[in-house]
Amino acid sequence: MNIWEATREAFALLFSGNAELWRIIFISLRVSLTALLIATPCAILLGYGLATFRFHGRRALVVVLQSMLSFPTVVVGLILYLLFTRRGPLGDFHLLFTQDAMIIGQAIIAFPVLAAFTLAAVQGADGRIRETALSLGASNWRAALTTLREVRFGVMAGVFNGFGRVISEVGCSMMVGGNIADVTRNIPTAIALETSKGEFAQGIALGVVLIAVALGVNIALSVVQGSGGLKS
Amino acid sequence: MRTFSWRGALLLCFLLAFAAPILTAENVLRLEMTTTTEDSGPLKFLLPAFEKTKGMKLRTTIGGMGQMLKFARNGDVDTVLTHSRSDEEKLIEDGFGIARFDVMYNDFVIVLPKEDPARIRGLTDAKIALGKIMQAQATFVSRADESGTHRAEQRLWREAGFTPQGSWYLRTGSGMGEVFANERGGYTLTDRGTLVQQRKNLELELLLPGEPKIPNQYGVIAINPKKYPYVNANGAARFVDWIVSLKGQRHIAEYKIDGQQPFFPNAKLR
Repeated sequence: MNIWEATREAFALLFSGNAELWRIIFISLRVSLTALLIATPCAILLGYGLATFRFHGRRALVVVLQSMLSFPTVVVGLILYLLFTRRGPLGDFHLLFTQDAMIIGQAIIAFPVLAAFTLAAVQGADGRIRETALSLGASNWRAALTTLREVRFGVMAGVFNGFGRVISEVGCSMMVGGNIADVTRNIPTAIALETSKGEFAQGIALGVVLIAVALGVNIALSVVQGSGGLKS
Repeated sequence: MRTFSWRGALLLCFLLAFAAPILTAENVLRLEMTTTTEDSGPLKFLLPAFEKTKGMKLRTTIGGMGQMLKFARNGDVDTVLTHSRSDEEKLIEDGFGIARFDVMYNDFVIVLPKEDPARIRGLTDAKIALGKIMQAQATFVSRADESGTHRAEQRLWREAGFTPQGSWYLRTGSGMGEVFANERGGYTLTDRGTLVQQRKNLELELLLPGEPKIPNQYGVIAINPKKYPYVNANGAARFVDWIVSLKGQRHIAEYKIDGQQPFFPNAKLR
């Protein structure tokens, strides 16, 4: 088998209207988008706070946050596994091998990405935006919203990045989701399974599907991001 | 104008230092095994013994059965140690392997949760046990990954005359069947080697299999140099010869986990 055959099979699969495939796509989107929805507000708040306020231990917090970007997803999965396992401290909630567990894992994975990007965006913004807003009588919250609106291109870059990280993540989903057919099997864990089965063409096909899905989501998100051009 | 950059040279040296082991890879044998083989431990006792006696370096690839077979078919490895006879024979038939030899065996067992909702405790016939599990719609965890274990499970259902289907039949493609069964209070099929290895982490009981046992036979194959001239045919032959020799077989018999012997050598001694 060569790469061309694999790619051809990929497109054949895509247009075959396979119900299991659509289920996998749906699970992927549901888990990743929910995780982003949960993580984004807190992460943006933290990023904004770190960029705006000067306090003791701020530098250390920034370094920790930026190091968290290197956290292996499978380690996030392992930690959650130990918490969620029947004998673990949160075992009574029966979260292991559910979509909820995957959502929690992906929210944790996306969080540092979102916060670090917001931090960078706000840090790079003109400090006078906030000062002006405050002097015009805006509350702290109102000023924050104004600033974030101004730097939304950078913040949205964080959302794209966070989405990219969670939609393509295998380690955590496999560990706490368990790759159950029709329940917790998303696109990346399906690819891992096809690969271990030696079905490389199917793996590539699912890879193409993943990229198509990501393209769709990114087009939708870019409407929020705006053009990002210099304002006159 | 400077034509020589110290920084560049240093970087190059640095990169070469990492590449060196690859460049000097002589007498390296590429072996592949399936995940189950690795889970149950032979890597730790068998392979170092071979490296020591034969002065060769083994580079072992671990993965799912299908992936390993694909690698073998593409000549990406020199020798294969797996446990799915039909797949192995197909490899020989298609000319990718030279010959297949039995190496060792153990058996597959059904493990059951403490609650035992299908009431199979005490049964000795695996097929009857499967029937009861299906009837009770009790959670059964299938590896569903076309691994050697999954093949054996499919064969067993087929021979028992059932087609498992429904939400009680969990198809997990994660290679963690026992962990799943443990979490969900379900039943699963696993090989005795893996079970012995993982026993301490699990709260599962073992269905004591009577006769007939569900056999789990491991075989070794050297990749055919006629298909891929670049394979280490000499090294592969030495590995195959060693593992089916009295010496190799004795190593297998001597390996114990918590006093239990996970593998039984059964090569036809030559």
